This record gives sequence, structure tokens and C-alpha cells, in this order.
Amino acid sequence: MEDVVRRARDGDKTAFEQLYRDNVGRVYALCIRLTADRALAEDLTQDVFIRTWEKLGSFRGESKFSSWIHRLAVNVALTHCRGEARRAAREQKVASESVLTTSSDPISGRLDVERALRCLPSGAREVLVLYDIEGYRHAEIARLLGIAPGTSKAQLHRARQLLREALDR
Amino acid sequence: MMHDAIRSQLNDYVDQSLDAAAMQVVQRHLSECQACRDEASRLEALVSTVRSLPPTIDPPADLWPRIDPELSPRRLFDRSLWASRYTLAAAAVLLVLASSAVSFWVANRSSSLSRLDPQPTAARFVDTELQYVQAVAALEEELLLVKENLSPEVWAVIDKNLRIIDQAINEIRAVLAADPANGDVADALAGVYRKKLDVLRHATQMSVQT
Repeated sequence: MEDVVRRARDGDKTAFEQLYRDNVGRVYALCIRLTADRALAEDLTQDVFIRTWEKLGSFRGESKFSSWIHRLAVNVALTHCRGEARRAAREQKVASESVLTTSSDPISGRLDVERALRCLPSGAREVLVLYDIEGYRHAEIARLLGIAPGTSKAQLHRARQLLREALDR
Repeated sequence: MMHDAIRSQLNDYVDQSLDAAAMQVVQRHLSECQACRDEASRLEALVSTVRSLPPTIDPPADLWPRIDPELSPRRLFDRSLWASRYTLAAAAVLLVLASSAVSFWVANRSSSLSRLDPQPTAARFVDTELQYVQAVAALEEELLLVKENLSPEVWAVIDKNLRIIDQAINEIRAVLAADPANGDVADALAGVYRKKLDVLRHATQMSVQT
């Protein structure tokens, strides 16, 4: 186990801040891509790190800390996403915010993709983010989302189709 | 018709999740059909773009000032999430899983001593067992992250399941140590490890869905 992780586990907040600095970008990226809502992604990121602090005592170092906190972030974000009322409100807000512009510039192109991602229906977006960006397999996504592996695959294909249509506009 | 059939498989083709025969059929068609080849290229470009998105995004503002004051004292569990009939019923399913793992072993134990392997099976099983142990450890850590969502009653049932399975693992390992050439015993041990992985996965799924 890394020294900084061990010190944070022992209650050293300075060490934990270092872990925050090292991992916040990855956690926030996951949260913003899964939820498509900046304010919510900030709240979830905050929650992930508070829960990490609370659970760090049970971390035994069997896996890398970065993998462990990433798993926790996926669980926190997906648990939140299951609130259908919140989901509906969020999608309405995102739809009103979304104005897609396309560009051949690589950085602007990536921003276009990020914006297009946020416009996808939540189920399709969650699967695409977990499969294509986070590298999960369909069986694992199915377990996390409580759906069949075939449904995960169908949602991925739908997400890619919708993404293409959005970027071709 | 052929184009539709091929295009319905292009995602799996790009993900390289087709079996060898299906992959060959798609490749053969793409080598002959410009339209489908263009379609595949566009899909590959899209997937490549998505997969090359940066793994990190900085939040608009530093969140540490919001997090720091929350770090102590530790928050208590939200007990409103605990105990539901659904999770208790699901836990009962786990008990069946665990029991069947042990039953499987007991039922097969008498016949398992007859098949001998010229090369010590136990020695070959070491790597396999290490993989199972690592997979189990990873799932146990994942379950630890979310098990607070389960009621104490449900967790007690799951814990009982896991202890039953651990007992079976210990018993079978002892038999394999005494009879290291017996492939059936190694198979039985692998089967019980798989049951343990099933229980851990089910328990984690219950935790995140509660």
C-alpha cells in the first residue's frame, strides 16, 4: 500500500488532501459524464471523497487505491442516477442548456463530443460512459445497472447511433 | 438484405466481440462493399474519438474547501435505507446458492477420489486459485464500500453464506492437499470459488440497488 494511502487511512488529513488532488479529476470526469449536470457532479464528487474518508479504514490494499475510489465513485453516481424524478428534471435542464456546434479543431472536437454525450438519454449515456470511456464489460455494466447484458449492449449501440447523429448535425 | 445483416454487426465488429467465423464474414463483406466499409470506418472513428477523451476533467472550482470540514466526525449510516422485504428475499436466494455449493461438494466427494491425474493437479491449480483469490478480494473490497446500504438482518444472512462457502473451500483444499493428483477435487474447489464470486456479486448488486 502506498505511504500516502496508509497515512490517510490512519487519519492524516494532509495525506488525504493529496489523495483528493491526485484523484479528483478522474472522479469528477466520471460524475459529470454519468450525470450530465455540473452542480450535481460537484456534489457527487464531494460525497465520494467524504465516503472515501469514512471507509478508508476498511481499505486493505488488495486493489490499487485509484481503482478502489473509482469503484466507489461509480456506485455513488449510479445510485444517485436511479432516482427517476431527479433524472427527469436533470434531462430537462440539460436539454435546455445544450447547443451543439461542430468543429474540426481537436480540442473543440472533444468538447463537441462531451456536449453531445450530455444530451444522450441517461440509460444510453451511462452504458456508453462505462463501456467506451471507463472500460467496463457488458456483464459488469449489467450487474451495476441491474439490467440484462443484452440490454447493455443494445443501449451502447443506441448511444453510439445518437452520438453520431448529434455530431453530424 | 446482406447489408442490413452486416451493419447490425458492425458495433460488435468494432468492439472485436464477434466470434471468429462471424468476424470473417464481416471482413469478407467489407472487403467487397464500399458503402458498408465507409459505415464501419465512421463507426470506428466515433468509437476512437470517444475512447480518446481525457480520463480526467478538473471541476470548475476546488472542492477541497467543501470537503475538508465534513471529514470529521464520521457520519452515521443512514438507517432509513436499511431493511426491506426485497433485500431479505434476495438474501434468502444467496443462502440457496451457498448451500448448493456445499451440497455439490458433499454429493461429489465420494466419486471425486477415483480419477487420478499423472501430473499433480494441486501444483497446476496454484495459479488458478491465485486468480480466484484475487477476484474474490477485489469483490470483497467493492462490497465493503456499499454494504452499509443493507440491513443488519440481510448482512447477517450474506455473512453466513460466505462463512459456509469459506468452510467448504477450507475442507476441499485440505482434501486436495492430501490428494494432489485428483482433478475432480480441483474442479470442485474451482466450483466453490465461483459460487463465492456469485454470492459476492449478488450481495454487491443488492447493496447498490437498495
